[in-house]
Amino acid sequence: MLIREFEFMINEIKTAGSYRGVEYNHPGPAHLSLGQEASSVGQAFYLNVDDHIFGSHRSHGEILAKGMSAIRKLDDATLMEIMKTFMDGECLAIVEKHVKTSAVKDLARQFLVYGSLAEIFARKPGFNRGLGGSMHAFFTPFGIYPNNALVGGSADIAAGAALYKKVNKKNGIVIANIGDASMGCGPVLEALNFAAMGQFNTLWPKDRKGGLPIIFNFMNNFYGMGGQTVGETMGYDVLARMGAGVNAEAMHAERVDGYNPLAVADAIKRKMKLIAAGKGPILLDTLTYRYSGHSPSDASSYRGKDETDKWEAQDSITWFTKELKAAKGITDDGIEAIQTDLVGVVSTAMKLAIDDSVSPYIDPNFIEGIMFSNQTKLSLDDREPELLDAGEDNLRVKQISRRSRAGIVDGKPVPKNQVYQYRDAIFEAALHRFKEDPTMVAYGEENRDWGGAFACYRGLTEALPYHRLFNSPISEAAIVGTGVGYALEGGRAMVELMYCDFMGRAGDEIFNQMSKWQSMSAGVLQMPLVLRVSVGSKYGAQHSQDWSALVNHIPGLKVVFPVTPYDAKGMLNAALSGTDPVVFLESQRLYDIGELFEKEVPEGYYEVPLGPPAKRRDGSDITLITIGATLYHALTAADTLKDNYGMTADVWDCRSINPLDYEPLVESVKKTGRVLLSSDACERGSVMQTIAANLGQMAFDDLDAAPVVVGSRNWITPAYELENAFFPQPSWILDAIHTQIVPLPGHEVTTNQSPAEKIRRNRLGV
Amino acid sequence: MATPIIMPRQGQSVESCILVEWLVDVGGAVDVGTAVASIETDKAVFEVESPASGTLVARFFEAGDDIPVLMNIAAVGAPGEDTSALKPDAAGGTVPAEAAAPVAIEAVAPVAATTSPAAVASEKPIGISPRARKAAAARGVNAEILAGSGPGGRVIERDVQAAAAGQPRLSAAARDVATASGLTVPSQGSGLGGMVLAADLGRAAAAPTTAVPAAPSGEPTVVPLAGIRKLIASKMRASLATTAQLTLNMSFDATVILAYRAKIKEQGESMGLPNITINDIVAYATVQVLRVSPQINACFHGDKTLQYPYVNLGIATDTPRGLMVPVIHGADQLSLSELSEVAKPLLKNCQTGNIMPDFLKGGTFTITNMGMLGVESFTPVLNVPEVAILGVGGLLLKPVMKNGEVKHVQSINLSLTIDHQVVDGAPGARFLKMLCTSLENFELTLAQ
Repeated sequence: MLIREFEFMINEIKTAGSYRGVEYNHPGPAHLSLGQEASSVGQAFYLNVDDHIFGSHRSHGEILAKGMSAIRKLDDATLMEIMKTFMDGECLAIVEKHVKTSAVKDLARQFLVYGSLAEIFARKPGFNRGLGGSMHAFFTPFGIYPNNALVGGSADIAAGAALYKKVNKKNGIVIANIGDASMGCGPVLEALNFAAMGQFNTLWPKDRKGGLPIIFNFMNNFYGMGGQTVGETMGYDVLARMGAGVNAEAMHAERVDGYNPLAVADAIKRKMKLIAAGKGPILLDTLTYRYSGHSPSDASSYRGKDETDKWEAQDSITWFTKELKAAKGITDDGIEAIQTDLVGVVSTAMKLAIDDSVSPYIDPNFIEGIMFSNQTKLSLDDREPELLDAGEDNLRVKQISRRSRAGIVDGKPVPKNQVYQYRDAIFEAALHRFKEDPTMVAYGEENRDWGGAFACYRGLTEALPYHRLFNSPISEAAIVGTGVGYALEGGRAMVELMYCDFMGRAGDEIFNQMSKWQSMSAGVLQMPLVLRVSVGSKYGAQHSQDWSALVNHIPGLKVVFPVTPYDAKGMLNAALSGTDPVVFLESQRLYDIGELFEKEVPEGYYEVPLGPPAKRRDGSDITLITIGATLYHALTAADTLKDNYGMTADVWDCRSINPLDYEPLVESVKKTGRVLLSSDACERGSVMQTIAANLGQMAFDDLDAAPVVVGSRNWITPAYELENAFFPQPSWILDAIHTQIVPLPGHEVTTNQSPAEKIRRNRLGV
Repeated sequence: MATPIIMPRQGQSVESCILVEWLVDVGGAVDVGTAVASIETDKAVFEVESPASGTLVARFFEAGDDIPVLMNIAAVGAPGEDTSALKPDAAGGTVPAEAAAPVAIEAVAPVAATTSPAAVASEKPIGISPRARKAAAARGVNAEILAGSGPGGRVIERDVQAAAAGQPRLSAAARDVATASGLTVPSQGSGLGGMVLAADLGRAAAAPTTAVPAAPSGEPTVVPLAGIRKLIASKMRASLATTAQLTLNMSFDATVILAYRAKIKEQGESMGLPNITINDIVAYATVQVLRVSPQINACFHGDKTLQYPYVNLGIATDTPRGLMVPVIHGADQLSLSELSEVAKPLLKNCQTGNIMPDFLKGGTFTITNMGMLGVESFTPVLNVPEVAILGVGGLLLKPVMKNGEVKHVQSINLSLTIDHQVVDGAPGARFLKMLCTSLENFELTLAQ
């Protein structure tokens, strides 16, 4: 009844502009769950505070039901402690001031309703400072985890949370509340499979056997917006049937009457028992129905009134009230009293939430401070890390100990098979964190046994038990999405995409989930997730792209691209000790290189901070800035400039793309007056273009020519044999300098780097 | 279509030039770079080159006309070609030199500003990098007229550095020819200030001495009054004809400044000081006294005197081309060593002919020193419209009676010519006295 009144209130505001005589205009979204109340209430009944729910854009009901369940289960002292400490008691203080009650649970109920509504109305005292809003509101102290505005977005994140519980032996289960239409989303199918991987039963250690402790609960209201999942947009006919395709247990799939709260509660109780016995994951097909449209703009053109009338005739509140009365559990007066009480709670919450003096909006500048958490946490739990053969006897450790940590000895490069390589740096940084942080896990395609497609992890298989390093399915969305869930729950994950090109498969997880939950939670959540991404070459158009521009564009991600063994170890150490999501780009051209710039790669622990670019060479006539493996081409070009034209180049390696400390770059450009930027990324819209534009503004008066970008052609990456016509070559850099910055006497160009050619190419879109 | 020949812009502040004479008749053949006319600003004379080959088919002005810069003055094309489209609008008019009061020139200038730049811009936009602009401003180089060596002819920093280092400038035509033909550019050209003209390309450097008038060899040489000589002549005449000149003489004991100069010679270099000359010291002291002498630091314009809050100090200097007066703008803001450093390149550029017209104008007071030529005392001629000019004589031993004894001290004579129309003898004498005192106590002057 609380949910019904709450959603009624928002519906009234959205459609009539007032609720019970109080006017308000809420311009934001409101996807209401009127009609679905019994599904939420029944689900929450047996859940403990440690059981975590992740929801969808239509989760107001789940928040209130789970919140009320938690309030019922927590003792008064704990409740008060939670409310007092949450955001320094700001929300509680408002509720306490305006609601006179000595009962802690009454206070907590008002706290829950007000905190949720203030969040929906984008107010500062809301649970997430108003930065999440209607579709994303949550309150972790009550076990309510992020609700997700991407359809099915919670599936893989919840699976990651369940992975955390399993790996770290934490209490409770995880529920992903997603809609029936989300079964059409690839990442949801990936999540179902990920949670049911055979290795949980066949390969994982005894004390961690069994599928993930998760219920994928499909709130099946028969519509995905206006599309009917039965008979129109999906082929399953009965959603629960989908479980049969996932594992031998058919995910213990069950169809439940979501209009009967007792049936739902019973189902949850039985499924929790199965999970406790290691028999997850579970699929629930909870039949329910929403009376209101998808959103206020929905005219319900896809269904008739007779349909909604029939459902309303089965209304769960009406029916359950009748049952209670028949069983003499309640009287009409009692029901009336409850209703009056609830109207009071909702009205109070609304009046407080819309009052600017009580519930102001947050200063938007606050957002700047929560885009990153910027903390250093060497370990996220105090358990002893579980290791196998991770000491000096480890084969890889032994191998590395025989290698030269310096890349140049007596002025000569050390042969590849004797030198400490870039991939060794990745191994050392990873192993260090595995030894320090018991929550640290790493997974991705071919991570175990094979040691990663590029042998960075060789030796980790021997060093770590299965649950800390394992092979994932070929499910990029689930790889990143579960990493997000693992980090949200409090663990540290390092997940891997074998090729940068595969980011497309994990688009939502990288762009909307990994990047945003720290800030959408107003800093409540942290995201200690490192996503290793290998940038390819040689393998053609779908295995050779540098997509740094895509991740750099997305607010909330740190993006680095180290290109020396020293930086690879130091920056991975920094990424793995931090609390922010880091996209860690590596170049497949460089896995076998030794250290050419620092004296050697130290054996001990050190960090290279994310932000400052690295100066690779000192010069005065031109500034060359590179991202990625192009550094080595730029150095070749710098040699030619010196030998043939007497020009010295200041060469900078933008190893940290975001954050990026511009000051040294600006200083350099002010010194030389000339700047050229280059990387393997396609030139159009690349990170270099961003940096070039910024330097153009920051050092305008000192520029002797406009900043020039030399990137890859805006083509598909051709076969390896033709790559020199695609990726920037040293000669291109010289040609561009000659053509656009300063003519080099006697230089003969081999490529057309003129502005006119750029115009031509852009006209053609290539 | 015929190609216009425009009146080039010579320096930022030059709005119009006088056409001295035509060098090519209508119907005459011209090449790219052929000098077709000689023109003069109020400070210098130079030549206009043809930007195209063909026949000079039209001349739109006559010798003596004062013509706004960037205006079409002639056209090159095929014989008989119609050039009416290139002819400057009659209403936009040109003013004969005789009637060219400053006001009239100003009235003409806006017409040029609205009509001509578009034509020029469409012809060849010349880019200057921001860095080059900044360097040009810092080093007093006019980047607008430099030949760019950057991509597409853009003027880049090194062009400014080269110009500042006394390297040659190229005329617009020479620049085009050099770019197209790849002919070598000599270090010194035959144009004004050593500017390399199209005809100079591919030649060895023209010796700077070729610009110096030949010395008399016994046979009288007919030297026609032209160019800068003509300018000097008319200015001198005007000076004497329009002012009431009165010269006052006073000498000062130079012991202190000689000792100071000796010290600088001995130790200045180790302290990073430039080679400060007696001339610099006198100029510095003069500037300091001028700061508090508004009546002297002034210009007279017939019905009013303008007294300046700053000192733009002209230094008369003898050059192969004749007398030139480069001006140190804002001299009152400079320390002694700065003044010395600023003066040196200006004087040097006058000698080599590289001085920009902008640095030959705007003075508020002038010093002329004939001391090094052995002159003891003279009557400097006013640099109109300035109301005073200081002449500096040579070192002289002067007997002085001190404590009943006659001693000889090193002294220097100062000659101040004032325009008696607006400055009387007494204030002139007071100025001289103050200047002598400040030179005799130069260490105190420095401390001011």
